Amino acid sequence: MHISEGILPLTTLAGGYAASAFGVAMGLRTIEDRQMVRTAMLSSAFFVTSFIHIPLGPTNIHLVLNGLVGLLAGWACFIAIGIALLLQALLFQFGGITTLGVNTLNMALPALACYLIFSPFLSIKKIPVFLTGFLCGSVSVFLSALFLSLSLVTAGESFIPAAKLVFATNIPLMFVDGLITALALQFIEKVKPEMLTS
Amino acid sequence: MQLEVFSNGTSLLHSLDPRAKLLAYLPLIMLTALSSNIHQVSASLAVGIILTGIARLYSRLLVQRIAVVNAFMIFLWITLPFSISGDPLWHVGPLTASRQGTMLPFLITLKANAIALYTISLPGTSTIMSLSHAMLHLRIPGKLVTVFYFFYRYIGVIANEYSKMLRMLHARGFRSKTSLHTIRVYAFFTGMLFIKSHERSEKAYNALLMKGFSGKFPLLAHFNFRRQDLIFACLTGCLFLIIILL
Repeated sequence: MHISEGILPLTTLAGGYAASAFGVAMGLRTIEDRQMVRTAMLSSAFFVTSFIHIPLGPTNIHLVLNGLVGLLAGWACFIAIGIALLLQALLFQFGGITTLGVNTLNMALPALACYLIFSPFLSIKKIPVFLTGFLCGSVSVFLSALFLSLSLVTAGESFIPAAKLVFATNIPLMFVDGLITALALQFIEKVKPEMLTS
Repeated sequence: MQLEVFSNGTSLLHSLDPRAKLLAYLPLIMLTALSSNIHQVSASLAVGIILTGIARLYSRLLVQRIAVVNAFMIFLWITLPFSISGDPLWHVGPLTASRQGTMLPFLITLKANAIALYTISLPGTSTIMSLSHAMLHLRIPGKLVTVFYFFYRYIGVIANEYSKMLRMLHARGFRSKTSLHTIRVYAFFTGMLFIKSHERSEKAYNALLMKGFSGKFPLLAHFNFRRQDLIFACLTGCLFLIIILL
């Protein structure tokens, strides 16, 4: 889920960079040496899971999992997502360097929102982990798709159909990412619950 | 896993100081991304093509990369011609594509290709390690660069785990198809990958701690800004001005 180079106006690009820089700075303030290594490897896992393609009828979709990263990384999600997008832009020309700020914001802000909303759910035993995970996974993709479409619209009214199309293509992903996040979270809770509490 | 596919080479661009390349790269991509002048963008694309040629990177792989960049443009090509009004060009059912409407996606496609070529030929010809070193010189916080270093260092490790687990799945007869079973398998797969990365990070951190890690790495090799770097920076600076004046 990224916006390519050459579409957005300067105000959107600069705004994206400013907001992401703030998020990254907040993340850097909250992490100590141990979390530096942890965040980095979480980001490596995030980068590698984007290679997973889930078949969906005649086509397939690749996982985003920014909600899961948000839950696991907290405020450091801006760092984890930002560096993964930087590497994708440098190595694979997905997204881009000028759009790195906007793309990071579009994916990390929903992740952070999911962290703030859903991580308290995990400590309440009454709410099933599956439900928390599903909401976390689908809400984060929903918000990312929404922010992505809104950023496209800042390039001009003529981009409204493209924005709608991009949003619509992400709807199946909301369900798939929600399901995967739900089951993965259940799995992590069973196998290594301390990952969710620390 | 080989990720930096364009960084192996002996061309002039490969041997330049990464700082000089970033100094040339950042203004050029900003200019290209924000320009709405077809002459500027075409000139930029031409420069990109020439730079990739100087770096001797013309290959099947380059074509594949550029094809991916252009695949993302499909969204724009199928919507913009219909959403911008102007002289009718052709009709599809009730929709009319306008001549003006094809100019914008054309311009954006040129820009995206130009920037992709810049990215491949300038930062792409340096290793990620030397680029992260160069980031320190660009006043990017050291802590962030250290996290980036670890991230890049461990992608290979995590990717190995990934392919090992995938082989294991296939050995047990797993075939991915559109089903809940596939989703469940991939979810546990993902969960396991995150758990492995977490455990690995604990081990790596403990090992680092034992070696006296204090949050950053000392630098052994330093950059050396030579005359060829200066000449390159001046030449690209001139190119930048010429493109602006077009």
